[in-house]
Amino acid sequence: MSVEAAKRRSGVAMVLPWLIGLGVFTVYPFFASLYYSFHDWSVFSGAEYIGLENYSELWSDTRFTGALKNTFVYALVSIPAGVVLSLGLAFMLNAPIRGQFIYRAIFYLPHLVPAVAAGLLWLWVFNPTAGLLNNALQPFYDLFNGAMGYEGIESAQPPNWLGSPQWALWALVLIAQWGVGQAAVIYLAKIQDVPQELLESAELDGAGAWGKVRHVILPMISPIILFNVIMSIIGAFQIFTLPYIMTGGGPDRSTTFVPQFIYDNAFSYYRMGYACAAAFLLFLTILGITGLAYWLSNRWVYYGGR
Amino acid sequence: MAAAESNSAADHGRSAAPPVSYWRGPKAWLMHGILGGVGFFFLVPLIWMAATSLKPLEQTMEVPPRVLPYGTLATLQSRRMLVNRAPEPIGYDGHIVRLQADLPGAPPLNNQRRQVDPASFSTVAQPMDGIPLPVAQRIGPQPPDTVGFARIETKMDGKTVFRWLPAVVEHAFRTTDYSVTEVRAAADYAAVTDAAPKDAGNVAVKPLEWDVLPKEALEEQIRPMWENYPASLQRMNFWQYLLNTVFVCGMTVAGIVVSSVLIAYAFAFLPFPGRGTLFIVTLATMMIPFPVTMIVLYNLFRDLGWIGSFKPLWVPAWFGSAFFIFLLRQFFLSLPKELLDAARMDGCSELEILWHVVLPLSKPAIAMVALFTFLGCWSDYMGPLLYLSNKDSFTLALGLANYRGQHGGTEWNLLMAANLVFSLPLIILFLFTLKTFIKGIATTGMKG
Repeated sequence: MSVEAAKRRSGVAMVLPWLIGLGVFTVYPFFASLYYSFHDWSVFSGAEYIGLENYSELWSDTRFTGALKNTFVYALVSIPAGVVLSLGLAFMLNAPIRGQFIYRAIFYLPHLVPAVAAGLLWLWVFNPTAGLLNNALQPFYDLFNGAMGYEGIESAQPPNWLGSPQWALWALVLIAQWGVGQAAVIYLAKIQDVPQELLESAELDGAGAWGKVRHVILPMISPIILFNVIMSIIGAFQIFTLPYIMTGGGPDRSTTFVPQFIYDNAFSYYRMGYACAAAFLLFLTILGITGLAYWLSNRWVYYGGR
Repeated sequence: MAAAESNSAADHGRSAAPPVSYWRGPKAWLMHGILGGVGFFFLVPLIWMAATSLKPLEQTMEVPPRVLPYGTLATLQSRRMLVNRAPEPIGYDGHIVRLQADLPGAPPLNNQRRQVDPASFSTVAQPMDGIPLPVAQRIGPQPPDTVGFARIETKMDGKTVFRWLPAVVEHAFRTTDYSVTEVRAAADYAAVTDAAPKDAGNVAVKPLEWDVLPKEALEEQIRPMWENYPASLQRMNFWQYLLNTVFVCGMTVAGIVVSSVLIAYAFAFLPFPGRGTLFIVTLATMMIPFPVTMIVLYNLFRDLGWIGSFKPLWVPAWFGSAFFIFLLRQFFLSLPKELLDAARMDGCSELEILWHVVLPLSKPAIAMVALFTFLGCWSDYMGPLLYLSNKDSFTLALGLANYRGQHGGTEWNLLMAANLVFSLPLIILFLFTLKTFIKGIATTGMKG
């Protein structure tokens, strides 16, 4: 047998587990889910074909549109904020001072805290009476109240974060920024990969620190920024554990995101066909937004570094 | 960092960064200030978690909170011991309550250590809405300034509840038909109990024995409540969950590493038919969110009879993971091909090449795969939530999430202790593998 043929045979043998795994655990469920989204399906009854009824019901279901809206707001605010913060942090962590090792470890640490632990921790931090945040804010509120002469009932108080529909989502956005260290470390590695001669020639052209950042470094790391943004989009649309642990989707469904909507419909209400339809819409949404990001990126991502 | 830089320089023919000279003076101090300040903010929640975990329960709900944990010492039954104070409701001020008795001869209010058992010690403060309270009670008139417990209506967290609170007899008198004792809720007394009750465990099972002491007799000192940790772990069934988690994570990491290495090797070096297409499909599946497949997967596992066992959690890992296959493939492609060709010419089979040539060179990348898989598996909540039904088979993540709702009010100190123990292995692992970590991120560009 020729070397090439031998290679081919080994290749097929070695890739076989993946073929099985891909087929059984990914491809089949994906298409089956699509199939069932056109059916009224629960675990107990069989599947009854109902065409596009699930989809049209989703369209008018305020719980679904609400969850979709929450997911969009969450993604549209926390992702850009995260990019800005993590880039800024990356540059600061790049500064040639002693002890950067420790700083980098400190900022990376929050990413290691499991979602369940982080959820319970932040639940405690956001506790309206005894929690860290409101007690830290209290002096500012007292100052304000004192200045304005508010007392008693009139006085402004720190918000009941997770208990009020207006604030709960923003609490989650805030918590998302706690993990910017993880992206910052990745950006840092890529920033340090920027070839020195480019920076030197920029300096010769009269660029200051900001100029170098804007015209050399950012373009050179733009591919990884794009990669990160796309991964963040995919991640933001799949968020489940943290809000589920902290608020269970409340108050007033203000922190219910699409994954929880799918989960509730599938495993609490046993409307699996309905949930599959929602899941497929989620997939299409992710696809669409990712495609959009990719298309927009053509204008600002520079691939010359490869 | 220097090693990473020279690698890239060799690969791409660009000049490496020259050794940097550190900033000095005000510029350096400013950057230290900013990084240190912001870094401190990032760490504050973790510090707060540790501080809370060492406090006695009543101290966790203090407003404004104190950072350091305090323990209260007092002399009870002529022994100096650590005591727990009953939490005082917000707005607890002395107010007069009238206790009326029709039947004389009840156990008197006094200073002795006694059980506070509402059934035998009923006193009437104010009737609750619509629910008449028993008027008959067994307290006779007491001399003024007697200290004891009275059941008094009070406000806690905005709700009106009845609580047993320290009270001081203000005035008592008796007629032929009844006796009246007027007590004042004694804000200068505190209800204390032995901080280490004989049966640690569910407090609601057996009423604790309380006593009433003047607040001046209590001594506070800084004392971390280490006892919170064993108590919390025991309540949470920690060791069982740890075992479960270690098993699932071990099987998952082993599965992912073994399968991803094999499959990535095939993608990188072995031109099997359909390789290109399969690779694109692999990449495409990374875009499929878990909620899309989870419902059908659940039913698949249900048909297999795997629901309730650990199998749905680790068996799929042995069939590969798109993300790690992709990354390992990229890494393998960066290895020098001559080595592989040389080994092939020596007559080695593909597996032998993998074992003797590729693996030794790939240690950092494989370590990264193992590390990130472990991280993900330890923290995984949704998987166990879906597939595990029996409480004894929960993983740590699921067990911790469930622990919260169990006892009436949340015991934040115990919860934070459990939290810390849950998160600590990951942090320790991270610190030990720091160098590998950074090198791995640089070489593979993994988001993790």
